[in-house]
Amino acid sequence: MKRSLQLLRPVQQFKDRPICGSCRKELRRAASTQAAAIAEDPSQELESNSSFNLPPPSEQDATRFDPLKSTRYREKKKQALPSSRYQYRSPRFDRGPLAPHRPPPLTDPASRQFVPGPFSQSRLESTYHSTIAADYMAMTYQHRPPGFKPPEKGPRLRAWEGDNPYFANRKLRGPRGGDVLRLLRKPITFRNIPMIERLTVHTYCRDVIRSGSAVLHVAGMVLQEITGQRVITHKSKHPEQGFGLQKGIPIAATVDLKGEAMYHFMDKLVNVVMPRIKDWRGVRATTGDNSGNLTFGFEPDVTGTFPEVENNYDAYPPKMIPGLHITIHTTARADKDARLLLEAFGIPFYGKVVD
Amino acid sequence: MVCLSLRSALASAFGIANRSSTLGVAPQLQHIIQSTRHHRPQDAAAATFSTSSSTFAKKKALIRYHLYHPTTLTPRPLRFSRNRALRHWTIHRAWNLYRMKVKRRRELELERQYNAMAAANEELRVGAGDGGKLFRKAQMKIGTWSIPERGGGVPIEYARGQVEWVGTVAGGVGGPAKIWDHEWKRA
Repeated sequence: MKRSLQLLRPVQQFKDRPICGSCRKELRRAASTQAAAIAEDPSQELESNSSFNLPPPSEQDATRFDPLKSTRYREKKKQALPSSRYQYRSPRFDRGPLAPHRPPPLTDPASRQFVPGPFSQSRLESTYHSTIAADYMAMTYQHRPPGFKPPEKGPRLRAWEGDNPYFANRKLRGPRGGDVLRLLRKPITFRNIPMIERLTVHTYCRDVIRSGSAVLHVAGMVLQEITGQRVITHKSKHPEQGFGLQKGIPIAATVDLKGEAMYHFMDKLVNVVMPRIKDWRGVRATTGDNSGNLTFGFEPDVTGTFPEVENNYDAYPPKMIPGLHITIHTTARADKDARLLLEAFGIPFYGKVVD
Repeated sequence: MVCLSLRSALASAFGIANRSSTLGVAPQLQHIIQSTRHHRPQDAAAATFSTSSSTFAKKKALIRYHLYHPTTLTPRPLRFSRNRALRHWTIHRAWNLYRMKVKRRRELELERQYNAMAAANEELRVGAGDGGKLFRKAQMKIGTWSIPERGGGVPIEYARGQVEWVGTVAGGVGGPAKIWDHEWKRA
């Protein structure tokens, strides 16, 4: 800062110097004749006072010059110069657009969240885009004649009715039979065809209570092996007297899959693992959380048939191979839509059908 | 979380040892690694997951270290030189553009199909001359959201074998698989 100010000063002085009109013309003419001369003979532009004409450094200076020593001296005095390398650390948190400096965008390789890829195109995904989406839209097509208006539905939240003076301006009441507002389901058009959003693989190791954490470690490694992703462990939130479970001990592990990894896992599940389960009727058709996310579970022996585990079965203690809970999160707003989508992907369902 | 996992996945896929040297490992783990690395063969034969408690503790510490230690979880950011960064940026933008085009094409195709369905249904409703009976029959979605076991839904054969018909070169849609594009010439 200081240096730039110093540099600025002579320029400022020169600019501020008053020049009369005739003098300015003089100067301009001189400049133009100079330019013409330079164009004729470019060597005129060179400065006459070259640094080559200066005398070389003295013997004494040459011997005294020791950059390594001076650096060490500066370091010793804690006045070290900044490194010549560019040492920028992106801030750990993005504090919004008003923050003075923000981490680089996620697509920048310098970002810590940068993920290279995708490196492959999943067959399941291309099947979805080429076939399933269009067929799904045709299957669920609901015709609406021009000018058709759907009948108005009642308000989802109820007003407070009664003589109580405190009911005035009170926040609206939730729906009957519970305060949960279900998702609204809209008719399916070309804009909202459901697709798989993410997939969660979860395992709960109850044996941790009885025999220590080894079970959870093995479960984590198995999960990592079959999904190709890092595992997150979860601690118990509540103590459970019946199980002898205390609060705060690591007891479960999950993996969240998205994008490429998700489709590959799903492909493996549908085409390799599920067909080989013996005496399996499929996923129960009533599964779901009412908002388009379906869950099903597998016994430990099914986990053992994942190709990664099966090929390296001896690497795992056989009694510690975990069972799995798999939740498929879809963009469908209702379970029946999600179920139809997963049927199209090849997951079999059985049993009673609700809604 | 995804990036971390991807890194490990890549490392395992390409057979890159995560840490070949113990230089970056925490000092309290150095001796554990040393002891587990230079154990005698008879130990190796006897060592399973549940032997003596000390070996087990060491193994557990190692597993824990490689699974959860922040130094293994947080990858260093990649630093590119200017030209390489520019190259990356250009490719990234081109890839995004391509993806957007593909997405747009899919959307337009779906919209076209939807509009065609709407026109056909409208024709069926008004112009078929049967008072809209066929139309009403077509709109009865009986068993659509059911399951094959109950005579509705999507048959299980629908999803199988489809994959053999879509993995084409250059993002083609439908048609038999084209593994190699023999007509391709350098422009």
